[in-house]
Amino acid sequence: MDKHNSSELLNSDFSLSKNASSDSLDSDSKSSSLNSKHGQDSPHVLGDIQLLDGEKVMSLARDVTYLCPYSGPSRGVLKVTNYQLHFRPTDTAALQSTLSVPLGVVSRIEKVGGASSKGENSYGIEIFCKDMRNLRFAHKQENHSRRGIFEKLQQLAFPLSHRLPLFAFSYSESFPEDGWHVYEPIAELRRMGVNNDMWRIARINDKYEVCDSYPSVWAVPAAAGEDLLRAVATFRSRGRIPVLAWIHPSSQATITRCSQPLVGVSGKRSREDERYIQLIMDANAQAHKLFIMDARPTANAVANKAKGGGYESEDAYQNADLVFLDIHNIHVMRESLRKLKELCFPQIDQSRWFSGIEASCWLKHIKCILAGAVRIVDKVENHKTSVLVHCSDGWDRTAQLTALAMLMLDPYYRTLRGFEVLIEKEWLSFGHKFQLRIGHGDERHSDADRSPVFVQWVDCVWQLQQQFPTAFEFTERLLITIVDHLYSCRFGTFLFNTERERVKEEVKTKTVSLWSYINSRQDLYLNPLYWGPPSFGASSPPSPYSRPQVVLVPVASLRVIKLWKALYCRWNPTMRQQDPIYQRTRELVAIRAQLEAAAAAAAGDHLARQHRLGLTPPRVASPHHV
Amino acid sequence: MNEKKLVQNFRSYINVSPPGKEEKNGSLQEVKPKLLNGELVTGAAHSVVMLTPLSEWDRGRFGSLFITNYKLSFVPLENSTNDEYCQRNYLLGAYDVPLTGVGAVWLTDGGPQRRRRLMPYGDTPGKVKGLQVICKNMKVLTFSFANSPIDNGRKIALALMHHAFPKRHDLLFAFEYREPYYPTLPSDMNMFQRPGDWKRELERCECPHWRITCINGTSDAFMLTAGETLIVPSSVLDYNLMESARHFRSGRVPIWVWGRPEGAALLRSGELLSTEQSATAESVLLEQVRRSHPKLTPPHVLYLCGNSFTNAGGPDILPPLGTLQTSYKKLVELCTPTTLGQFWMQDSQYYSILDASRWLRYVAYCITFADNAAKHLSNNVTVVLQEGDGVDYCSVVSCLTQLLVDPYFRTISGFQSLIQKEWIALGHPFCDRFGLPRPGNPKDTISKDTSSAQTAPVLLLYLDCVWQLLQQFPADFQFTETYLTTLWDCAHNHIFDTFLFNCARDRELAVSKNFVQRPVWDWGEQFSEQDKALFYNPLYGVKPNTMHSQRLSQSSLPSKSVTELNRLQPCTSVAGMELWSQCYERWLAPLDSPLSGTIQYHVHNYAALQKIHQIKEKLPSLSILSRHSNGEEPSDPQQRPPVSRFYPFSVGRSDVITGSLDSMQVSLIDASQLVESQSLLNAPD
Repeated sequence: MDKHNSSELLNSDFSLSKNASSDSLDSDSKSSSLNSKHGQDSPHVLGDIQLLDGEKVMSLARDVTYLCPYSGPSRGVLKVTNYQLHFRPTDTAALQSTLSVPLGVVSRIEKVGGASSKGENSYGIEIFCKDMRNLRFAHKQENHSRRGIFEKLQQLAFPLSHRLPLFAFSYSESFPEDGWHVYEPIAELRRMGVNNDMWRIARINDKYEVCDSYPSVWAVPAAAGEDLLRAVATFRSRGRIPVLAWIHPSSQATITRCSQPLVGVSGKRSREDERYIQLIMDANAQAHKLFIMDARPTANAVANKAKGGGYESEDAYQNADLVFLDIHNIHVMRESLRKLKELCFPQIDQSRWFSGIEASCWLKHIKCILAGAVRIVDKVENHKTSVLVHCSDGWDRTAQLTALAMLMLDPYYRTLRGFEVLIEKEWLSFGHKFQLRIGHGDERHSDADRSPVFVQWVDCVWQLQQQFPTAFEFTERLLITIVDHLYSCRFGTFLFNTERERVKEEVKTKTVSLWSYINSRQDLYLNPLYWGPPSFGASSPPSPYSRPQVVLVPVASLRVIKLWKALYCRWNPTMRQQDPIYQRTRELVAIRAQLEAAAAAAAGDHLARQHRLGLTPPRVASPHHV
Repeated sequence: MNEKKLVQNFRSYINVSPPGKEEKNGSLQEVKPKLLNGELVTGAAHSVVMLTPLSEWDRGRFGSLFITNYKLSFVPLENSTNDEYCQRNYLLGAYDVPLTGVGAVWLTDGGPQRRRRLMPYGDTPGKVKGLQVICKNMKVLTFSFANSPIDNGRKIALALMHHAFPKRHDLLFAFEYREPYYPTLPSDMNMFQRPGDWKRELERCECPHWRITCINGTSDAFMLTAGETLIVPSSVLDYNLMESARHFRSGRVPIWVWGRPEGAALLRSGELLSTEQSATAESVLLEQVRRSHPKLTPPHVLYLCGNSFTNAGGPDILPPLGTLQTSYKKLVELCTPTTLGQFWMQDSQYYSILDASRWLRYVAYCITFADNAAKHLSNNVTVVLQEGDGVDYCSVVSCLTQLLVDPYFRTISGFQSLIQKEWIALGHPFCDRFGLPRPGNPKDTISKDTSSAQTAPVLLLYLDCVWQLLQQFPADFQFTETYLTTLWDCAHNHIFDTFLFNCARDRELAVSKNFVQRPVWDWGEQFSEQDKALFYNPLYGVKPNTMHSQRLSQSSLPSKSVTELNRLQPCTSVAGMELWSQCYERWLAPLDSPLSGTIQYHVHNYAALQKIHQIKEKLPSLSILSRHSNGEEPSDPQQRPPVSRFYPFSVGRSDVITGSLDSMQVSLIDASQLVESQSLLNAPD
């Protein structure tokens, strides 16, 4: 056995023993991730506030009533820290209505009723949250009892509007692993085999001068020189030129991404852009065609011409086929999710449940995105043709499509770490405007730039998980945790709009990465059903059965696409999944693992033991990229 | 585009000219259906094309179509085992449908487009170019006779319409089947046929305040649709029962079906008739029920279809059977698209169609009633269910309630006993609800009496409700959804007597005329051990790791009172209900894909369980022969066959699946053994 085998042994032992002890945690997975400190598992007294490192109580209001839509009003103490809003009922029997909500999820705070309002609990504060719930508190009607806490809440929930730093910059918990090292762009490109004959790594954007919303490292056709790249950048909206997202390990068909060409009403052309697109096509020897997938509905693409944008004309781009994928814009998606929230929170009106789902159109949009990704996968996998994806700016719908298609094509991204890499790469480094779309710490709740584009993509991932329960190394708990911390502002991961801004603000040194938190307790997120590649090493040739399904092709039909109740309906206690099937499965797997260990021990068979532990694969490379 | 891709896996046969077309009367007619003992061919057509479901005109396979007195049978020319789905039935082939499973027959002009529905006893068409059969289990079979000898199609249509909708009950195949039957039912199953069976149940439930009466088996019988044995309050006299019965529909006075030692019991009854003294009669009986409770707690009455006296009930009551049937028809329409175009059109308005069917609402209402009843029982309050004739929704809700409160009924034997008790012994009118002729009555005479002979999928409603519970409590039931789906399929197989009669009386009459009873519960009659293994839930009996169950939400709750029952508390909202995809959508090929669907959990867990079983068998010998065990078994946990979403009902991708059952080596392993292995683990190293 070689050297690093022993460390593997240790690792596997570690994860085995942890696995068994963490089963119960899963049972309240709905939001347990939010404020728990990993590392310390000692059961705290329910209801007590748990302060994170760097968190301070800033304000406190007694005699406040929390009007829970499910268990009714309960009286208690409301505390506001620089991270969270915490409510603890005075009555110990009502402790289940303890609240602990990161202020990052607050979208808007309003006063309800005036000093002269009649009726019980009519005077107070209502908090509208980004995570599909609203919180109502009632205060006593004398002495402006709500004023202090209201003002403190405004200030702490919207620090950026008050020239204060986000909590992530005060948070100082340390984790065994530094999640900022999860994604190394060069390493990821190497995994895909770049540099090779056809593609090279370009550092032209080192100082973010060519494109300020793109990463510093690109992979571009090897034949494209720097001058060409600069010329193309002038013809693409915001300089977002076509660069490599993913390359097929055997056929060399690629997925590239960019923004719309600046065609305009006059139908401008760019020889350089046309030549560059031809180079992308030529980089794939298998096909004499390139598919340009424009994520937008045709009408929107045409309308964009008036604003100087547009789409590639098939005259100018010979050998390119243009397809419109009919996915609507961020405003439509925001409105759709708003309707869904009305349906799911607080009470579900049973008589209009199904019609409400249909009217929200949320699942139809999901279907549309999945179908679009399936088309990309079909072209790349079955027709060995390269695909260029863009929408208007190439940071919303484009990211959804490329990231989804890559998830379907490459099993590496379906591992826990691979998934983190995927988010870092396709969403964060390519400049999905998280700050604008989520509005961290910003009080302008009706800002037209806000939109649940990323959440929608996570929903699509969940749909894939539902359809292929064994294909992912992680469970939906990881997805919910990611969505929670998308808003929480506890970690630096989803702050700011672009890689450039993150570098400038020194996010990596001043904040903690969400992946540090997640990777330090991976066992919480692992899927017991995962039939991943038997080994990511090249040592064992895959047998026909053990080969995992490499490419996932989901069914984009509403008969299969489901509403993600565990996310959207999670505040409603009657809608909670009572007994997640994978929890029981995990127990079964734990029993098996322990029995296997017992058997191995009984046999005193060292070899058998190593064989068993070898089943937990080191996750470094995708099987077919090696 | 996407749509196109989905079907390109199908091989096209129809564009290929049929092998040996010129010798139509030669070799082709050699094809014969497999016949059972007593089965006769009554119609045949050759060179028939069975169109691939959800294809357009151009895909299908050649073969011969037969109508027998038992089934419709398509025998493909190319005898490949490839396209059989995994669950194999000893009695029926992959393309066979028992005649009682035929729901509707449509005339087509050779393609998948429907033209006109053929009605039983209606006029017979002059020329038949194609037929489409919609089965009661939502399978759609489309046949084209374009290449068949003239008149073959018409003959088939005639034979099918004649035999699939018989006019007399004794024309059903169960009366013709000559195969001898040797019952091998599990010993812990209760058939509820004799007074002793009811006594056993009464003793199992430890309910001393109730007694058995056999008056319904005498000439004084007042509840003609129930068996001879009834359980009533100890204090009530048979004479009182007979008196009171006049005031209840079908003589359905409240009768005991389940109880707990603490006193609460579950009863079911029919609606009160609007006679003058009916209210008095009811309160007298309810008073007797109260006295049967050791704490003298008054019972709670649940009006499943509303209270006809006070008109109370609200919107959440169960609908008249006719409305339920309409709902079911809309559901069938949603689940049986005949062309790919229709499939995608439905997809674009899927939720409104689903909503318009109202099916899932009725499912949710049943579960709500059951949850309500279980809540009362758990508070030690007796519950009386009341509804129409007391044989339809009463059966559904009563069964569901018992599933929620009594773990015994969540085992396979218990579940089957429950159906025997609530549906068979207490007389759910299966003939009427399934649209079969009543014994002794030609079909014509009763069709006028529509109110009571209403066709309605009450049993399916029940199975759907159980499936919802299975979804919500994946480890609490010994059986799987495959079991439920199979049961629904078999309910339409008229070889078995279980679902063939309206009441016990009719069955006894038939038995007295040498009718052989073959309970459907004898699964070995139809399925191999491996197919039966898929009925067993691998997670059943896996106890949650109690050592670590420090759930925050529960630790602070006040401890339960002693008398409170340990019951399942389901989500009762419509929003918590899902469509039973395996049962309703398994024939929709575009939805099927390998490695998808919840079946993956089961396949994974079967393998895990099997591995545990193996190790456990090996473990004792290992410690003794520790030196010898160098030969590690090749049972790599990764080696599992990729099954697809609707496994074991998937068709089409069979090249992957063939033989997968064998390689899976599923075997019946009692999960309760795991408890033992857990204790083994907790032992010090």
